[in-house]
Amino acid sequence: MQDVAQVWRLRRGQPLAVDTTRWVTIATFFLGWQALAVYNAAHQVFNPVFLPSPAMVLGAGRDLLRAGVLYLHILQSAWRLLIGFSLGTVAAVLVGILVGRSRRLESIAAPLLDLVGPIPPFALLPVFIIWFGVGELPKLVFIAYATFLPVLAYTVDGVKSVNPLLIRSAYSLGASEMQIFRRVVLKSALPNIFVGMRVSLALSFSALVVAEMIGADAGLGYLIIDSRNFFRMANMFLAASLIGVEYTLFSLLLGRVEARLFRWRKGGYAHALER
Amino acid sequence: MKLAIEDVYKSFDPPTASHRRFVLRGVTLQAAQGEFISLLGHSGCGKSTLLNLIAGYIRPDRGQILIDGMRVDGPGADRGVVFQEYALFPWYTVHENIAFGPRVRGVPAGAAREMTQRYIALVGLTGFEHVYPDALSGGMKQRVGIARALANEPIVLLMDEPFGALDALTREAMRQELLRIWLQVRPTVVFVTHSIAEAVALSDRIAVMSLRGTLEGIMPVELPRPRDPHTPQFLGHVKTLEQMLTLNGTSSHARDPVAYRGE
Repeated sequence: MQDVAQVWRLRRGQPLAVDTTRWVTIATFFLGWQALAVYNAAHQVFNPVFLPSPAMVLGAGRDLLRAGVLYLHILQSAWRLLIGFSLGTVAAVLVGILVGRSRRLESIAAPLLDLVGPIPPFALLPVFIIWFGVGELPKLVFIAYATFLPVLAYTVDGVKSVNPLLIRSAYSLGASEMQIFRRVVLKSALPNIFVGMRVSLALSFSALVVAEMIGADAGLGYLIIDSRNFFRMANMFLAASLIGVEYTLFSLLLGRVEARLFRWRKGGYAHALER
Repeated sequence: MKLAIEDVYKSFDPPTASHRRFVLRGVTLQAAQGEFISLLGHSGCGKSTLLNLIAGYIRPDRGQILIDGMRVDGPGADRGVVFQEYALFPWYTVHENIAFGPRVRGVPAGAAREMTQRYIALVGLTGFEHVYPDALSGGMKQRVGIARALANEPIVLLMDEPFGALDALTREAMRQELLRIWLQVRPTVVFVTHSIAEAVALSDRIAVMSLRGTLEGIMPVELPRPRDPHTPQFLGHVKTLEQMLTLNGTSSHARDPVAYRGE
């Protein structure tokens, strides 16, 4: 968890002292929740079944672990997200580079994107299920599709804003078209692509949960629906929290890769003044 | 001749326009092996356009440019370019920037590293190999720019106001650095500048360009290097060039469009 704090600090350029506040806030949240649930269980302000305490949620997690199914759900979701997100990103980057390089392709692609872009991906899930059946494929395609559009938009933007002087300079150093594409255009667009991936990651997770709620037999989304059917509130809270944890982990991973790739980049608001 | 510019015309107006304004009009100029030539002129006289034509980024409307007898058709590694804005690859370290040319041309990694180290030493950047350009001062960035262009061992080195973005003190230091490097490597150099003193301090010959887009004249500078800018000979050259430029600046202040139709 130290890493979470670190990434936050880096991203927002905050000094170390803020850390304590952060942990106090989080602890207070859970303690308050626990207190509320315990108080409610004793005094029945509303039906206590509606709001399980954090301790009960942890207990539900322990029970599912003992039953040996929790890992299955967690891994199933992580795997689906990883495949779907990667597929969507790779496709978007490839298409984005083609579109960003050619004004003609862009004029063809732009109206299509304007046409399809405003439709929330979730509206298309039933269509995907009819097209690709009820197995793994429609879920993966659906997650990939939700990832695709934002990454595409950012990639096109990144490719279009490459400094032309860098391209001239690469040509004069003897680079071929392919080398310029790899060593200049792609490198220059990469920060943009990562912004797109960040935006898409949240969408991918939404898509994952929705896809698992409809016609799956494992995964955290499925766990929520399954628990609803049996009215196990604690399990629902558990699944929701685990989705949050998975998102955090993926986001951290992305941040790690970014920090590695963009060591050459400095600047931004946080670097304007030394404090 | 290492570089031959033959009767070059360039306009940015479309060929169909009834009155095409020409930025360059019948420019002819040669450079011998190892010669340092400056293109001097007011801003807007077309000196950067001429450099871009030699680099192959743009194409002449008439005439041709030859490098070692070969007609220029697009950019290539035989002409190294140093830009005023440095144009370094920000995602590459100093070493990777300088190694770019040898690497893309297929020089094996070991040999490329050796070449790169040699040019890093030449421009005095030893110890900064693994620094990213963002962390360098303007003068140091341009050292990288020069080393990167030279590492390809080009036939001609094209420099487009390379010290234009530097402060006066750094500029003076970089002038001397360039002179030292040039004397050591002896590339043929085409150097664009609007600083008379800079042109006199560095060049074998100075091509003065007029606002009409023609060559006003070519002035040889036969003073031993390094040149002291306070000597009467140096100042004499500066004065002559000043006169050429002021005359030129006032006489054709408004650049009238003269129709020229291609064949």
